[in-house]
Amino acid sequence: MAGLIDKILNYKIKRRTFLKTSAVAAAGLSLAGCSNGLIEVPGELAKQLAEKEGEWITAACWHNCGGRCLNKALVVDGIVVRQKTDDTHPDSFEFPQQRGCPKGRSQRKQVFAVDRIKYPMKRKNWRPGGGKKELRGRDEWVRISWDEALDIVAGEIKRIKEKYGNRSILLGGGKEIARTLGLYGGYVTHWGTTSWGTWYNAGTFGMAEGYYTQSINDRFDLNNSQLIVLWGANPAWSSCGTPTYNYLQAKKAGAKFIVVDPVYTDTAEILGDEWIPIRPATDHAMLLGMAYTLITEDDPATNPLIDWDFLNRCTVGFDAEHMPAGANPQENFKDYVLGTYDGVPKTPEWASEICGVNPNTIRRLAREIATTKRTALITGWAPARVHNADSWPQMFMTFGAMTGHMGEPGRMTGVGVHINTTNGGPRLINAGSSGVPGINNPISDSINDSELWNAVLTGKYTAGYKDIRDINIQLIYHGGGAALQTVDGMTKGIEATRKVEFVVSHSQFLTTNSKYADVILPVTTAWEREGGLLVGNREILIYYSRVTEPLYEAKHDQWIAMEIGKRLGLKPEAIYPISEKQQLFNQLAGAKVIKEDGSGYENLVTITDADILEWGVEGNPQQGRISLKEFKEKGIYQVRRKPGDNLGYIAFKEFRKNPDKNPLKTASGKLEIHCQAYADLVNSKGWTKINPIPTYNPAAEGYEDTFADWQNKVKGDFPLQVINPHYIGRAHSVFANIPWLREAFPSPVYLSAQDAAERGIKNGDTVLVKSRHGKTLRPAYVTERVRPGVVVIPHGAWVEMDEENGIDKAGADNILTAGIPTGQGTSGWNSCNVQVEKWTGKPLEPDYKWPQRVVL
Amino acid sequence: MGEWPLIIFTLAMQAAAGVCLWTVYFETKKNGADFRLSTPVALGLSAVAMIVSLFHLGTPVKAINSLSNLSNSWLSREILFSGTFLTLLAVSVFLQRANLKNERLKKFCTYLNGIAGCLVVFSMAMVYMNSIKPAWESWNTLVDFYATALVLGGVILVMSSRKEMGDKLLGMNLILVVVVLLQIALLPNFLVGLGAGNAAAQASVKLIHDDYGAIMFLRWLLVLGGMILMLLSQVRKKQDMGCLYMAAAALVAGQVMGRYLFYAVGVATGIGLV
Amino acid sequence: MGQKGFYFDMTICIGCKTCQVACKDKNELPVEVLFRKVRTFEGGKYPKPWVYHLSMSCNHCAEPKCVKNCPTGALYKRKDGIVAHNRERCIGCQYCVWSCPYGAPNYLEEEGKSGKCDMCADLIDKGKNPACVDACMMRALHFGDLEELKAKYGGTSNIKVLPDSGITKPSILINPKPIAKKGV
Repeated sequence: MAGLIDKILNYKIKRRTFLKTSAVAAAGLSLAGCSNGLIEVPGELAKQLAEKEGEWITAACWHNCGGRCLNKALVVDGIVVRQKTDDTHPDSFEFPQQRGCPKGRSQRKQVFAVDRIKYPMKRKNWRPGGGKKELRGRDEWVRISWDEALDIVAGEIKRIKEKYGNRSILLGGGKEIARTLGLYGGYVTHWGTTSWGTWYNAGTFGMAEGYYTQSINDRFDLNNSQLIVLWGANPAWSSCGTPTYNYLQAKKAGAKFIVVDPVYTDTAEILGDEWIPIRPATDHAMLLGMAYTLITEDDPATNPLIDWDFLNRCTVGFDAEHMPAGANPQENFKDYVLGTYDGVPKTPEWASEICGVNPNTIRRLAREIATTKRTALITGWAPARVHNADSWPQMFMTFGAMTGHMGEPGRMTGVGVHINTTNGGPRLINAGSSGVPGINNPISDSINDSELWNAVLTGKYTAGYKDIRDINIQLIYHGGGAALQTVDGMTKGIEATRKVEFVVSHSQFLTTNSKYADVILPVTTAWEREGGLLVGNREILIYYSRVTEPLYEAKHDQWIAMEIGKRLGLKPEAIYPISEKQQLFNQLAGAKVIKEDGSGYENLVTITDADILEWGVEGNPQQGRISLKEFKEKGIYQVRRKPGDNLGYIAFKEFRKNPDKNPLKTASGKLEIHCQAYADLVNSKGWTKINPIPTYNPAAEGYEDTFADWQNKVKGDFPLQVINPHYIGRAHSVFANIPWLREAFPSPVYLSAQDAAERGIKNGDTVLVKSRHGKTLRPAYVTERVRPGVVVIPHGAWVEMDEENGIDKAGADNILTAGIPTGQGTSGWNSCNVQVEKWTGKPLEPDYKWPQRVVL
Repeated sequence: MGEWPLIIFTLAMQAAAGVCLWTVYFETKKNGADFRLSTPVALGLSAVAMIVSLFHLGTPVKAINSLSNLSNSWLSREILFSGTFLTLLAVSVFLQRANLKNERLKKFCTYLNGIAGCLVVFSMAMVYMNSIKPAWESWNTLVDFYATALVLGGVILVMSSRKEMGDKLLGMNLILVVVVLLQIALLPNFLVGLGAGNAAAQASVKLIHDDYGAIMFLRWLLVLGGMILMLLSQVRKKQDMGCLYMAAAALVAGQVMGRYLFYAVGVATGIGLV
Repeated sequence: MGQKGFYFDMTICIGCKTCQVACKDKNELPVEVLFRKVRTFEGGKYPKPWVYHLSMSCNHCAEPKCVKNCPTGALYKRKDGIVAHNRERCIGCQYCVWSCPYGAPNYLEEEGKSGKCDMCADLIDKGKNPACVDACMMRALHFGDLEELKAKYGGTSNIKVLPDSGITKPSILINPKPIAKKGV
């Protein structure tokens, strides 16, 4: 009977007192306008609100997600009732709406989440100097005042600086607190190739790294391609927004798509005319086999496969006749491929043994690319997020150069990733500078990510070739970012975190950074801030506005930086000399858009004296394309493009026409298949070495390392290769806690049906994935879409360590990986060996059923 | 298994209907018994059924809305018939308690209750037969519901009005045996039909086979065993009370298990299950 | 006024579930309640696997079993063919859940009532599209007068994984991948 009575009572309560309900429960809408917390609104009121007219505010969607789209929030009576995406103009291919992804559509569930960090907190057992440091990550939390929190943080910075010096302060992330620490004597930074992988320094041999600069053409030109090869790129997951839609237009225009990937991805599913499953970390070998095919089959007269004209005019290092000055002629690419000097011809059969692709397929693909007039060779960064893959980008370039698919309509070779996927070229619209001057960091120590945690533990790091330096990190400041979660080798990261004297984290949730910290400072989301500008694909600029006042006691990182600065005896105005509003104004005033004829840039925003007065800022009136008011209302300015306009982009176009007149920024001015500068750069880092030409270097923990005995093909203890693709349900580790997304994207481990069957694993079984470095549990998604031998764990799940057995339950990718420094300091997430077995313990509940990390 | 309210509702309502159907049967046999106990038991059961059915509803305070679609919805009709049946039983019990000697009225009531009970069971079956679960859409639902009504009604009648009926029970028992045997005889047909059905139907078969085979076996064992015990208790000169109670317990348990299975193995035709 | 319906182009759907989440946003739905759901079907044998996604909400059938079976009249068909739900009348009997071969009605535990896609009737009444349609990054979902959609895009209500359209006559048109076609 109790159930029935409860239901009736509950019903009456709902009816009578819904306006007074203030408990923060899992569901319902959230009141935005109040600064002291969330108010839950039951469905009925939500419905009433939904019927009222409200105001659509352009809301920030600011994450490092690989896309950038328009996001709007409907605010009614101060409550965000729902969201929408771009409807500022009718949708067409030429002038598409910038439609958002499921992450963006869940944004309000992040901002108004029940698991927001509401107040400053300290670890219960924390004491100055540490206090049971081993309890980090498992201690209780105690709410403290902002004053106490700021005093603790400033006190520890001061104490540790005085005791160990500034070289003991490691900044995990956060550009705001960096200013304070910079003025206070400096801090140790860390660096890594991050998502770029080995494309990080591709400019050295003449290519674009793919994010700031592009070697691919613009989206209109993509439709000129007859063949598009997507090599290790899955924009359907990693670049939401317009990219996959743009590719689809190319397909509709007649392009054939070939997808080379260990996984039959959702991109391959709709675009792929052919899927070539390849082993992770072996792409280089396959391209060598393809190069061999072209070199041995080419006959300029009867069977032209190689674009000798392009090679001879625009590159150096392909053959002995075209070597850069001072290079050993024997060290040319062609002879390496043919095995002239090393005795190993890089035949398709040789490649096949490594990459697993049938030699005939290798030959066929090489011929098809070479004989198709207009081909786009597009790769993602994933094949470059591999240990020892430093020569891979150069190899990709070399194959593109051999086939001449560069610098002409429909022909391109390069990286197509992140916001510029499918749309290469300089930005057509850009934000101005905020006007905040830079602050110098007096400390020059910077630790590579692959050594970061080890450096904290051992007190040593590699600063360069034969340059090992001592370092004594005692304070880790996570002023942003997700270093503990996303830097390679989290198992050691946790150990390192438990070693130092103080750890502080700014965050909105109990993220991995914060979970293992001593003090957590709650920060606002972009929805609670003054507003800002966001760049997206080259055609758009988004202007988002404040949606709500700061929730609970959350503060802006800039405020925190200044408050801590004050306590360290710094002048706040030295840290941030101008207000947030002035910063925003400056960005708007300085925003530039391309002129309609493409001849240069002009002011985007018209600013009047009245605007300046209303804003209460310093500035000058100016004439632009759009009024401040209209820009704010629309929230986006999108350059209207037309086929045949002057705003298109063909990478290497001028260079190809006349490389001597339009040299690249390389030593020879050409694309360098032999690049001494690149080899020197990589080799100067002090880890593994490469050659000036792109030779194949097996990856540490790549395919070869799955064998105990490669010659006799005897598998080792970790016979499978794991890859960690950027997951559609997360932006790196952001959004990992949102129930709507957890429900839609359960973050399983993808196993090939064959590997699963061999291990007696059925779809949905909880499985244990173990590497040399850590263990994690996940539900199995058994599929025919993954190449046997390959395991896929989506990137970014927040580690959920079972302290009893040391097994993570969330599928945190970096629990499996390790910091293995190679080449240019590459984070090689896609080279990691694992074993998988059926879990005999308690099966996992789906993530969306897990209790949220609500602390206070 | 969130269907306990419905299991109790359907079983109790069908038991009450069964009582009334048997009452009509005995009325035709003119044995003169007036079932002083069994009618109130039927009333009690149907009242409990109606109350328990509210537990199934998410918003029980608005239960009255369920009568709003009589022209189309068998669920509306089921509620209407159930309510009517309950009312009729209440009137019958009132008349019984008022000690009215009007035999024609009594007879009228008996037939009316029987018809109402019959309609209740029919409408109940139609509710499930109009769903999209192949295991329920079958005629087997109708057979099963009536069989349950007769078995449970029979057990209640035996237990509550044993003395009034004397040796007339054997006939009832024989009918029951026929009903149960018929039900069992039709079972393979039902399963084969499901097996030849769509993926949802086959999923039901798989559930029966993989997860509920043992329960199903036990269920029929109990029902058959119960019947045999019931017969034994009648065949012996002096009615064997122990035997009778055991028979009743086995039969009731068998029906409860049967109904539990009914809900447990219902799989909806749906996307991917076609 | 003609029957309104959806058109879904399976051949260009990447299974991103933006429609599903936009729907949750529009209808403020807790987890485990989906008025629009994207389902993934896959099979084949490596290295020739196949996969397709199916985004489906209520199909606003011409002969909706849920409307027929609903005892309260809470479910009803509007003039434009939308199968609407008056939550005030609903008693949470869940018979609609047992009546829909497309799994469209959901039971909302917290409210003690059913809920389902109403095609964003409030938006439609203002001349706008349902939230899911305007959310689709691939432009795979369209909304409109069913006959007009049929004329413009073609499509079928019968694909391999869907119940026979004869049961309820759904107002959905799908451009199926070859593998998803009925009888393949």
